[in-house]
Amino acid sequence: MAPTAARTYEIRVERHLGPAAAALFPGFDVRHEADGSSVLTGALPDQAALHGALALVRDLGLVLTEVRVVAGA
Amino acid sequence: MRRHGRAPEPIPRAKLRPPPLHPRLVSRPGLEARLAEAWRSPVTLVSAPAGFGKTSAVVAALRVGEDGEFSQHQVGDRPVAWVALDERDDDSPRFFRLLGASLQRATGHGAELERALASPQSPPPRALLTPLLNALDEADARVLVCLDDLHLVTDPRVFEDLAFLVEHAPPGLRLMMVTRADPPLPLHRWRARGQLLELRAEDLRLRADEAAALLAAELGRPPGDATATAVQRATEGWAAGVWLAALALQGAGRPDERTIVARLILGEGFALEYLAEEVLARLSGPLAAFLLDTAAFDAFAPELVDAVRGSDDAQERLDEARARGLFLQPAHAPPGAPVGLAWWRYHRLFRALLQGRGRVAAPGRERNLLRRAADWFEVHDAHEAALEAALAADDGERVARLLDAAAYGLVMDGRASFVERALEGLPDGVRARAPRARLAYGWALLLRGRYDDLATVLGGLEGAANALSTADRAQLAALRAVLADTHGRADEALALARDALAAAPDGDTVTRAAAQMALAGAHRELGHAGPAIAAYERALALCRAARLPVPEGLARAHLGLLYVQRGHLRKATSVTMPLADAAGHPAAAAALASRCSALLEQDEREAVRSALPEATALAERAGQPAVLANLHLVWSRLHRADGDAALAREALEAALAQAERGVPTWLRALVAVRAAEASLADGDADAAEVHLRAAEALRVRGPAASALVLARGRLHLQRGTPEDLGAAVAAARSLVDEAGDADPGDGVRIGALVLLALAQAAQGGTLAARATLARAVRRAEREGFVRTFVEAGPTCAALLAGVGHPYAARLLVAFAPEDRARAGASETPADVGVADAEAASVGLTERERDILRALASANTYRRVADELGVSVNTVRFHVKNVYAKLGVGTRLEAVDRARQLGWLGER
Repeated sequence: MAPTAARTYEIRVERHLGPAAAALFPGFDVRHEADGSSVLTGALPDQAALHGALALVRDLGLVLTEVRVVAGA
Repeated sequence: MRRHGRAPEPIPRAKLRPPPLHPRLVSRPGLEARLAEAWRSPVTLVSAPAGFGKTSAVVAALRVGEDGEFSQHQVGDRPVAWVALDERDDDSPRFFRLLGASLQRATGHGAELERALASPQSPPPRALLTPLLNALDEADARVLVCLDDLHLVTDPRVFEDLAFLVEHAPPGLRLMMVTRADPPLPLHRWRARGQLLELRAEDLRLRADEAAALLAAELGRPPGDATATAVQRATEGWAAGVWLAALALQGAGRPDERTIVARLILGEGFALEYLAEEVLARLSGPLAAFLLDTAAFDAFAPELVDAVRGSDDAQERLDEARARGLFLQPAHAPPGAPVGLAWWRYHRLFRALLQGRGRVAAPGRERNLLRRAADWFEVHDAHEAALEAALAADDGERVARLLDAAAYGLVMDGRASFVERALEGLPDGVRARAPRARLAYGWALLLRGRYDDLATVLGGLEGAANALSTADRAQLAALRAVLADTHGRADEALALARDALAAAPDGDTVTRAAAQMALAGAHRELGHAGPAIAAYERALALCRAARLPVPEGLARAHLGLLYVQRGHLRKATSVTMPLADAAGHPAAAAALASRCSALLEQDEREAVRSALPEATALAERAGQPAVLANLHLVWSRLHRADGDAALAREALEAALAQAERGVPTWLRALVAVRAAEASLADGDADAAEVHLRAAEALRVRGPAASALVLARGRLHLQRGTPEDLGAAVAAARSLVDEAGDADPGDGVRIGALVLLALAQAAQGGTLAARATLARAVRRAEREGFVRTFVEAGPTCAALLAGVGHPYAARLLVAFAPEDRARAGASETPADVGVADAEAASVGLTERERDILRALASANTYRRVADELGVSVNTVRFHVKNVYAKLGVGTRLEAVDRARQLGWLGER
């Protein structure tokens, strides 16, 4: 996979994120799952943007449980 | 805006010391004892997410004083070299410059690293690390280097060199890294070797009793048992969460406390987000609004906040927020911000929570605030801070405009990485509107030798060449010319440089300087010494006018080299003079090499001896093989002048080794030519032949080609058959008669005349030989050539003795006494040189006699200068006159001579 290819990613974290936390991930849709986790779905231009989003997950102290590609662009 | 050529941005002292400890820090003796093991572990990694209290724990463990001063940052006798990193330090030269400054403060070693990396064209840090590590080792220095917030650094070069540093660290050096993410370093290897001490999130979590203690300290009362347990579980001992809980609980009565605890126990949502909302809900409306607005900024001053909010109560709200302990900390002023303001920032995590809440409460407000902040910074001439605000506001048009205006200054300040990132973040269409920024970035790449990246940048610009202004097109052509030059396409480079010059507007000194530098480089590569000199001289004047110190120094260094090749020894020494004491300049070593080369030809051996070691050390640190090759050639010639053939050969080997490491072709040829001449001096014609063939195979043009013809002629002379002598005469004559672009210059011409004279003498034509040598002497006098004659050996001395010219007498005394004696025995009845010198000795001034006496007892010019209360340059001036009047070449000879004349006795 080219590091510069645009893709749609799903990032799953523990806990339900409220609107303020969700607002920190512009461009992502936030979905609450029944198991208490949240799934952030967003189209990102490249891997650097993905790493940026993951760094924010880390900085908020959120527990990251899954990252996957749902669609190429 | 400010122009180029300013001093490098100073390093804020606060970056080199640990942050002060929080006054109500909860003591954690177990954790602190484990952290204190860092004094014994080669590498310590403290890796955990934000808000785990990593830095606080480290600072507490290292027993740093509250004032944060270094004198008190010691455990036992080991000092701490602290480096507080931020986003701006994600650039290898900047990172290691900080490390150098910090080590300097802690150990007294590291200033060289800091200074060398302060320039936009800095040498690779690796080359500077080895001498630093050696110095620390020799000094038996014991120091703990602590890199705080290392996760902000991503530049792979930093980690390559950090790994190198750890692998080669002296025993007294300890490295501690505090980070949110494991760094890309060979941690597994260090772990396996038992060199790595690790403390991770699990080790840093607050236990229930610690969480209770923290809550009690913040609330001013013991929390209920259920509260402490609920907080510890909901936050999983995460210090930032516990702090936030304490803030939320602060204003809460018992009923609210029960509600909060119940929500935390339920543990559904994101606890931190909920706690932040609780905190905000308990604040007054104006204070909450202040918090949400100010969270838009990395750092803010009340003046900025009032300007962007149209308010007048920022200071009041700030004081209120601080009094409530709302995670405010002093911040560094943004670059170029008005002086005298106090800057603040929130703890990162709290800021993020506020930012999210603000975006929900008032969509679009954050961006408006940032745009207004960019206005405010622009009005205050803080272009870089304005740029950062515009980047945060995602205001591409403004970023492009600001970048275009500020890029040159940023590049010259060593912020090329920032320019690169800002450019990368722009959409293609907008980036096209910042051509100056891309050109400035191109120069930065060029100065760092990143030619492949430069080619990419230039390719992108060429596609948009139609949209460029005339001046920008000229800059583009100049950059392409220099790139073509480095790839050996000199003809293409010349054509491009001429285009650049034709397009450069008259009043645009920066662009004209760039075009002249490109033109000069192309001429130099093509062997057009005269036009190259003229273009460098014009470039030098333009660089001075535009205050561009780095290219100015490069022009001086190139001119020095060209003047030496052309035999303009005096010009070579004067043009390089401003760099003789500028050890921090990237071109200093190159300029010193030319300088020493000219001074040596003039037989100023003392001056050469005093400048060569520093020049060599500089070039070694900067990793400049071409300069080193030149310097080793000078060393070799100096040793030979001193009569030490073994050392001379060793230096020559070093020059040959450097030439293998990638130097311009003409220099490789020149090194081979000098090697051939050294073989001739040792009487080994076969070895000389091998070196000459190697040089001839390189098919060089210009001065190196002339030097090659001359050396070939000298080999013929040494072989000495009638055919060889004929060939030597022909070679010499071809060089003497060359003119125009092919004019080899006086350096080669004098050498050729000396060769011709020797060949004529060998053919039996002593009178013709003397006449030829007289021509050489007359030419040599103006620039002070000496060694070319001396190196030609005793036959030359014998011929000189018959040349009736005062400068011939001066030259004779520079020969070794045995050469002179042989000359006297075979050709002249009297030792002309010595007789002349004695005649001149009566002309010594009182001052010169003082100097001479001081020289006999003190061993350096510096000490002589101190003894007599004059400058070192004054001493050099007098010494030169004394040598000339005594007719000697070294201090030893001068002192001997003075003793013979009875001048050193008590009077």
